[in-house]
Amino acid sequence: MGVKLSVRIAGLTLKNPVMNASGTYDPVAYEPFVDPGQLGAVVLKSVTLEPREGNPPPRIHEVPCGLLNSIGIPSVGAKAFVEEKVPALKKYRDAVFIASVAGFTPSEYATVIEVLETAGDLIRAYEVNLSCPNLEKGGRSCALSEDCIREATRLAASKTNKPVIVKLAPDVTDIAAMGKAAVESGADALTVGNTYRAMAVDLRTRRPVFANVVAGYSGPAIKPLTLRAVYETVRAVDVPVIASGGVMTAEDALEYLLVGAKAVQVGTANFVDPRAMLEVVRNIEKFLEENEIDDVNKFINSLVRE
Amino acid sequence: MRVAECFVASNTSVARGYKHLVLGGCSLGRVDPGQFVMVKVDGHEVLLRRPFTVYDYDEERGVLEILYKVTGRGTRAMAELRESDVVSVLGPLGRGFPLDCPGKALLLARGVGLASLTYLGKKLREAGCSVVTVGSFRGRGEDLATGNKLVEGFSSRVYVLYDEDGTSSLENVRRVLFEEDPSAVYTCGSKRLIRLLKQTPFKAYASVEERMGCGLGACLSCVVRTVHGYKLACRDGPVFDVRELEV
Repeated sequence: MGVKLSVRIAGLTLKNPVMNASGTYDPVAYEPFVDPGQLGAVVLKSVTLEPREGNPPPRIHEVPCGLLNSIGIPSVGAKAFVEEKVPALKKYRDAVFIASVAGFTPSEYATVIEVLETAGDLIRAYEVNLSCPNLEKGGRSCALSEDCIREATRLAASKTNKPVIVKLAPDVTDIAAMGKAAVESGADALTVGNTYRAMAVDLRTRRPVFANVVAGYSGPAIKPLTLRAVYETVRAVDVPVIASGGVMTAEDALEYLLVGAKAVQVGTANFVDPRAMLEVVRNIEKFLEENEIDDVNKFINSLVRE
Repeated sequence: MRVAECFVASNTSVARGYKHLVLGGCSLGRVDPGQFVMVKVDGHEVLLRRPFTVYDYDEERGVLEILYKVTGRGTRAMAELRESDVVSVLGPLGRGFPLDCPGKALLLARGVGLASLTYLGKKLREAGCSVVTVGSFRGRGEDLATGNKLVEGFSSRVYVLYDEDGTSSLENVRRVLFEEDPSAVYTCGSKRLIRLLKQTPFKAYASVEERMGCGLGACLSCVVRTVHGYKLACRDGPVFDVRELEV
């Protein structure tokens, strides 16, 4: 047990570099399997300003090596989140909570943060989920536009002294440029990335599987794609990068750490096995022990290229 | 609620397109009728667990039985399971059926929906209810009720209705319901039957099926439209009062 697993991200000390991806884990629902205090952090489900029902079913569709989802960010709304959801989390004293912020215009991210600031110290940082449709631009995802990334980040960061982590979409032409835009606008850290825009159709009915047509692709299929995106972002910015894409095992997590991510998010794997994140933590520790590395920070960004 | 690594004791065909999986070493603690399990089949190109209701369960012996219809990638992989293969079972999950006993319970199943009601029938019988079972099937090749030891064991009467001879018509089902005049109806497998039940005075509960991701209430995939807005089949159900459902 001599291995140091803790990492620092934007002023936060995480006891290990493993957290969940927003919307894939709920500390209350997973309580029989996971003590949230044993995770590096807990990213809460994205909160919108107003209550939202989310998309009609089907919301999920399995494909080879991954799954498509079109959940539609159901949310009780920011006010009810503070009043009803946050109190239920207070018993998890050792957990580090990060609130995920959704917005349907660049300024709405800031408005949601203003409401969440009233929740007090339980929320230690914000993750700004830029993969929401920007209703000022015909519903195009904010994360696909450098201008929108700049504006949303700047407005969000102006409303809080807590760390602001900007979550970028990986399926853009130049992820490094998007990362730089966020950092120049005040991001304290980046999450790279999110699901990939994808689609499924039903040959029998000749209809799209999802009412929204386009859905998000996650799971093991996307790991090599996001690994490239993380690699390029780490080399372009001077803030910590959290990797999010297809981590199923500790090996996947270690690959991300090797190319320079400071921490990883586990998403789809939480659906397959509710204990997945603790397995990842345990096996990262085991790997480091076996390789006689006493501090995970010595392994992070140690990729050899010659 | 736990994750159990269970072994396949048998996996046999029971009717056209239907298989019966018996798992040993499957200790899940107490399982209420109507609760479900999420099954992970290893060694196949299937990522997510698949939800199944409990066909039968013996807590003391740790034997879990699942009756399933082979329909998609998940159940096709399951159909290939052989004796002594290991599968991971997460459960029990969700909220089951309220047991309204004593009285006469009527189980109203469409097709493989019968598999969701057998464990309930057994428990209702144990609790002192009399149980009448009505099974509706497309044809005789898909009949899961006739000669079914479980169903015959707990039922005082069994109706088997078919599309091919017209006996499964809604009018006929309605006639059977009113003739039997049960104190509670339990249904699974058909939205038409749920709609029919909503138009009767009987107290009725339905177990609904939706595509699921986690089975625990985190992914928010398995929404069901109710009079109170969307609810989650995995956490708020899979059993609902039929009057709550908008189908």
